Amino acid sequence: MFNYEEGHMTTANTLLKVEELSIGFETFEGRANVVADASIEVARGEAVGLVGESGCGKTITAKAILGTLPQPPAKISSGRILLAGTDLLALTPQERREFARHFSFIPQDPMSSLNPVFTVGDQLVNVVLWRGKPDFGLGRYIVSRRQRAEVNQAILESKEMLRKVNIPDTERILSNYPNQLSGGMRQRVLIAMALLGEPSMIIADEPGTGLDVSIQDQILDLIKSRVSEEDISVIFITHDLGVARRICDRIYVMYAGTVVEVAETRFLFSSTKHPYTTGLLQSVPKVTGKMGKGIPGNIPDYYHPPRGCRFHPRCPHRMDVCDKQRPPLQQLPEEKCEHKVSCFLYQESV
Amino acid sequence: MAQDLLEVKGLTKCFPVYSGIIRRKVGEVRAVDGANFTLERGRSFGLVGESGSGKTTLGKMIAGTYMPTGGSIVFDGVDVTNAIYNRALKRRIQMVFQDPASALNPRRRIRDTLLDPLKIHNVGSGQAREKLVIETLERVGLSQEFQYRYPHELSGGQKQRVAIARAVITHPDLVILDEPTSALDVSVQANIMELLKELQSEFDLAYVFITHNLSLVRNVSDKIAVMYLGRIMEYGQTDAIFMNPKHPYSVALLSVIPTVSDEEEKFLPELMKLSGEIASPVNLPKGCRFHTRCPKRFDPCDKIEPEPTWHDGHELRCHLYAADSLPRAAPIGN
Amino acid sequence: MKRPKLAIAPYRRYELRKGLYRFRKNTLSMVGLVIIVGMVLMAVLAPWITPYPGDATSFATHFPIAFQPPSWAHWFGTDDAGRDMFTRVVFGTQVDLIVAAGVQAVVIAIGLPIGLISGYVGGRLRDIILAISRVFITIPPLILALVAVTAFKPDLAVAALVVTLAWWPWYTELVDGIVVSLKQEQFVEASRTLGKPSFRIILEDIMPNTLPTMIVKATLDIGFVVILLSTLSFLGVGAQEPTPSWGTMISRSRLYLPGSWWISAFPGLFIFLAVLGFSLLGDGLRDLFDVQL
Repeated sequence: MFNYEEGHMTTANTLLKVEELSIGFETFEGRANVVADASIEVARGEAVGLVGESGCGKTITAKAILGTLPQPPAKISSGRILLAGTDLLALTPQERREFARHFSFIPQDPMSSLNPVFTVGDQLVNVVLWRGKPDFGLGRYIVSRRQRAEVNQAILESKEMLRKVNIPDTERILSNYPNQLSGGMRQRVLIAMALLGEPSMIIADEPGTGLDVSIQDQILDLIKSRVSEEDISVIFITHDLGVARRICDRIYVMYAGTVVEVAETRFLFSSTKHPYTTGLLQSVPKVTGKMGKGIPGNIPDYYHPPRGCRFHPRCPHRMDVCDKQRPPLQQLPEEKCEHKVSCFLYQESV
Repeated sequence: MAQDLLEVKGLTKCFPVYSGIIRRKVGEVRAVDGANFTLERGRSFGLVGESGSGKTTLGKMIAGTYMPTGGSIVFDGVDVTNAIYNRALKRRIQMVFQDPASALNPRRRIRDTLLDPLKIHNVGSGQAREKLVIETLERVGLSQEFQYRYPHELSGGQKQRVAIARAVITHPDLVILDEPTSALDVSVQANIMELLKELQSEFDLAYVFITHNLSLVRNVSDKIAVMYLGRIMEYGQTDAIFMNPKHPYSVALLSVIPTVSDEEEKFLPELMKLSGEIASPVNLPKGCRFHTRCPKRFDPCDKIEPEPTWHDGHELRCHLYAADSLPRAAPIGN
Repeated sequence: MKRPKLAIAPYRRYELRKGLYRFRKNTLSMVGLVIIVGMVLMAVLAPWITPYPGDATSFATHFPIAFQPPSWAHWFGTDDAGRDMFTRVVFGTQVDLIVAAGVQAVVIAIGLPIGLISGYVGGRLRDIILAISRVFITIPPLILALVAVTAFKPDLAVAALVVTLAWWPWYTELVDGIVVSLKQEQFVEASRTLGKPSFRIILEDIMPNTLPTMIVKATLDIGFVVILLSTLSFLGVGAQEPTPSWGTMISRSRLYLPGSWWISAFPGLFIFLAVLGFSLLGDGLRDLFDVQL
């Protein structure tokens, strides 16, 4: 957990540590430096939010962690991704696949993430059969499909998991095709699939988007309860601060590929520090009837990113130094809990 | 009381459901059933609901995409229910769509997209049109060099600005906005909302704002209607409904809003969880359409559908309030 | 204020450069482009790059030098009438490629408008149009050709006409399918909400979105049309002597195989190259336009 004296996470409980990750893309127009020195830590059993608007690099960072980033045109230029001490980026593809079983991914759009030509039961059983076996070739898959005992066991586990995600009619759902289910049901099935993989960490991409408010509410409650019961670490990627506030213990705020602020949830909202986070919070329409005017300007051109702090062209508090160097992500000394900001307004060495 | 710009009475839209090779009609979907509301010039009206509520269909009926199957639409004193395809009318009622990426033709430059409404309605000519395009682009915050670009070169927020420019370039009286910011980021959404407010006061525009986001509608509309499965469940002044929601559905929707501050949380009504899924619009529940999910249902709810009644500034369809209120003879009031 | 045409120019140049960059990255499609450009150049410069142009354009015969294998004097050898094969094959590009391109152009000119109308109007009209096109699609072009030939005298023009008749419905159905899905797009709905008249919606909003798919399909198809025309010529119902068509050359050479292999090998090679070239080019264009066919 958080070590007050040394001001950082102790390694004992850290499951995932992303260190100074930088990712670029090669395209016609040149090289886009999207992610710049992003550092993220997730402890065991913790729910961490990765919050940012579109184009801020949160999805790319998640894909880099999962290992699904297409390396041309993307290129991880520097940094490490440590899973319980092992640097995933230094592994061979073979070894990387071994580590894939520690991760599960809940994709964004429940409508299009399930295979429409297989029943829900088939897809869930496949997850169970595949679990922990990175070299599962087609031959062995066909063989194991014929082992009735294994398959029956997988079906039982699937049913149990469906019950855990509050799907009552498990028999019927297992034999249904995805397009026969409603959006909320599909999202639950995706959550079940992610949990069946018995991961150490789940990465959930915009959970609850595209669902109606009342259904989204049910889904968020479900994710929260499942995660705390099974003691799995979760990274929630979202652009919705309200959602992050409900389900995350700590939140990372990303802007233009850099982490600008990270804090325990209640501190992020009650004592917001970074001007971007402040601007973002102001922009959210409040049910009490207040709404800010937004943040002027646009996200930077990744082909020619601003020198220094990437937010400074749009920042109402910018100073001369902001143009020259990028402010390091530093812990605020007066806060007792983790609260780091990347902003010269809060650094003593200015 | 100034004459209402828009008055909708008993507006209904039924979609037939066909089956078989010979396409026999086997049923119908009452997407919108008996909607009533009014909107004054230069004001905003919020239409709120989840999927299947009929809010988009209602907006499209006013915009002229769908022909109403029942009820009436009176625009600026003239009954236009059956004339909704009239081109002159379309100059005065415009629409902004949800997904800016698909609302702009990907194969046409912004300039051509913006010249379209001018050509259709014979506004100006030649140089005057070019000038108007540039002026409108600048008015929505885009420099004139954007006119030569293609939509895919623009960001989501910029695309939506173009869509708004296309809607207001002919100076309409009424703009229907169908989830205009749902596809946009939060800070961009705030920018666009600010732009819409500025345009509203500058051009004296009336808005019908369709959304599922209650916090957003609170900030943009004077009156709102909460819809469920085609019926307006609660209708009235925005502030009144948010401070004191009466219909159980309104309460439930409000109570689950994800908030970003404790101040907001205190404002919300007590948590009311809804059970089950939204019912199918083809197979409507008997009696009140909401009763299958309503935690407060009691005896008459599954037998008789409540009529709209007037109660303390809100128009409601709910048996809980039907007893001690006036029937809907009283005017809505401003 | 600059006139619009001039102001757009820098944007058009940039877009062209970007497109070429993406295309260049795909080696196979570049190969295709090179082949096709090469063949087109051959067709255009035929009279000047061949040593014996008379062998292709007139009834000239040189029996003494018949059946010569490939040599320095005759790169592709000579055929049974002593004519230089290289000259004839190169002139063949004029016949096969240009006729194929012509057929393709007419097919698009017919199929596109019909497809646009049937897709947009829908309903009964669409049912009728699709029914008619189905009839034409199910009749194999070859059968149609043979039937036509018994009615008219065998001629390249007749063969071209027949292939056109057999081919147009594919484009109608393709365009119809695209239009039906485009109709649902929000920008079409937006145009309708603006009050745009239908024919302008079809012309300005819908048609430009059908062009990428059609261009790709047309490019891939020309290769097939070449084969179709060659087959008809091979069967004797297409180009007649002395017009140098690859199909007729192969047909004549049947009698002399396997001894004088060069009389059929080189025309066959060129048919293969033409089809390959168009296929590669079409694939490249498809990747460029990102079209799903």
